[in-house]
Amino acid sequence: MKQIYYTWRTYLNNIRHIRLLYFTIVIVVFLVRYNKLLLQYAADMDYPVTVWVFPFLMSSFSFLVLFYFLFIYINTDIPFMQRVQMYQILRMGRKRWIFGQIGYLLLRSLTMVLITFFCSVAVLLPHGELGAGWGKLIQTAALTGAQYEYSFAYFFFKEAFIEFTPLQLLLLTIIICTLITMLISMAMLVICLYTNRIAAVSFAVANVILLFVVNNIHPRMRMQMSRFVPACWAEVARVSTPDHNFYWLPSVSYMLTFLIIAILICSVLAVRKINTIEFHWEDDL
Amino acid sequence: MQIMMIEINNLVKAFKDNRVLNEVTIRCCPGKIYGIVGYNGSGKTVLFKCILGFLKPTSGEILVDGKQIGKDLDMLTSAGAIIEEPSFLKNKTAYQNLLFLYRLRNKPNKNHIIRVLETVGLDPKLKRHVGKFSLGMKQRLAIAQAIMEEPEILILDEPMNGLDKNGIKQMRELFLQMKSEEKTILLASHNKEDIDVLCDEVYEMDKGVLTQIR
Repeated sequence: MKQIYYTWRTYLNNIRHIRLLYFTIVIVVFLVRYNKLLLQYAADMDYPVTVWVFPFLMSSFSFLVLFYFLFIYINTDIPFMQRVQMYQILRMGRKRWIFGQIGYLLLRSLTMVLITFFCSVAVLLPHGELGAGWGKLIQTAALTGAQYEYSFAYFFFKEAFIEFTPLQLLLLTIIICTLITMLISMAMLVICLYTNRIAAVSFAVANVILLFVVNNIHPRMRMQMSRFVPACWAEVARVSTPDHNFYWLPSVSYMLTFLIIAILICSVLAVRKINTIEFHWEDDL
Repeated sequence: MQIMMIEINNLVKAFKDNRVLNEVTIRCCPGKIYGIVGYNGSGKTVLFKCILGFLKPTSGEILVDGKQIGKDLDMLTSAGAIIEEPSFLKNKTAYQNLLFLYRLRNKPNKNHIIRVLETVGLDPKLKRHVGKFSLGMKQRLAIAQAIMEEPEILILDEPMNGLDKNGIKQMRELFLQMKSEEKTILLASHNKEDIDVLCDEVYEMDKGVLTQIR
């Protein structure tokens, strides 16, 4: 119970940070830009647009890059060696303290993904519909190619409409994106603990670079490479969409298994290291 | 034979080639205040951090109530401590900060937190966030967090830092009171008067070597 209390309080104490406000503002500004042409299309068709666009937004390479860089910015407080932690570690002990930080990373990852999701809904809400289905507008845009004529900033995949309901794809995208950001956060924590923060940030940036590589290589190679680049799995909405006849994303079960096992491995490494580490406090951010 | 609460034997702490603590040996019993004096950078804070478990000794041992830090205990979670600059959650009040820390090990006891804040001269109802506290107020809060769980051991690094005359007098009375309650107190200070008034035994730290001078 004390562990759950500590994890939850750590989350509440830290989540109301100015960096998260900046994250939200930037996301909203870009969402307004990204949805401009979609809304133009909706106005031309005189038809409301569904607000459940989040999975397709996360399949946009440029938006994903923005999201990941903002996420790296949020993670600049890893490995949590700020002086304010001193009295907490003294009371919790090393192991329980690191479990608390791991729990906090999970909650923070989920928060960032949910903020992005709710902002994507909020931006479209004045012009949108809250129905349980995909809505006629984006299906028409996908089937007729209107999304290319209007040069949408992100695209809709007709295969996704057949494969998933909005709720299914939304939940799947939220879970996968949370696990991806959690994994990158945990990897940053482990790298920080074993080496330094520069190496950790470099690793996180390398993930974004790999995302670029995966999106721009030959589809056959993309299929092989994507199995080892979790950052690109945020594009889960296109899991059933072939690219030049290649289904380049791994299966959902592969993604979930990989992510959970990798997070567990990082957790074990973090707990092992925290038992031997020396605490040199930093100034509070 | 006196019960040793803290026993440090031939403690060495080195950072790369720099030996900060050099075969430090000290034995501390309950019901006494041990003063450690020394110039800045002499190793006092490093010694305290080793006792608390924040740093790992290069060699030697630290035993607290018979248990070895780093082997039987990973951290001295039963001690109250003030080391380095006091740091709390900036956008919370003093009361909220203490309640959060107190609940990490204990069931919530709001009246106790209120009493502790009053003991150190802080208003429990003060709505001001700790981020807007003066140094003296932060120091009082640091003392409050160190004593609130009534620990058997107190590790105090410059506890009077930033306190006014009244505050110093209050805290001296508090520490003497705690000594009479058979607590083991290690105190580092640059203030000769604090050392003279409070300490039963005084040690000097010079280039990592600890020598008893009283």
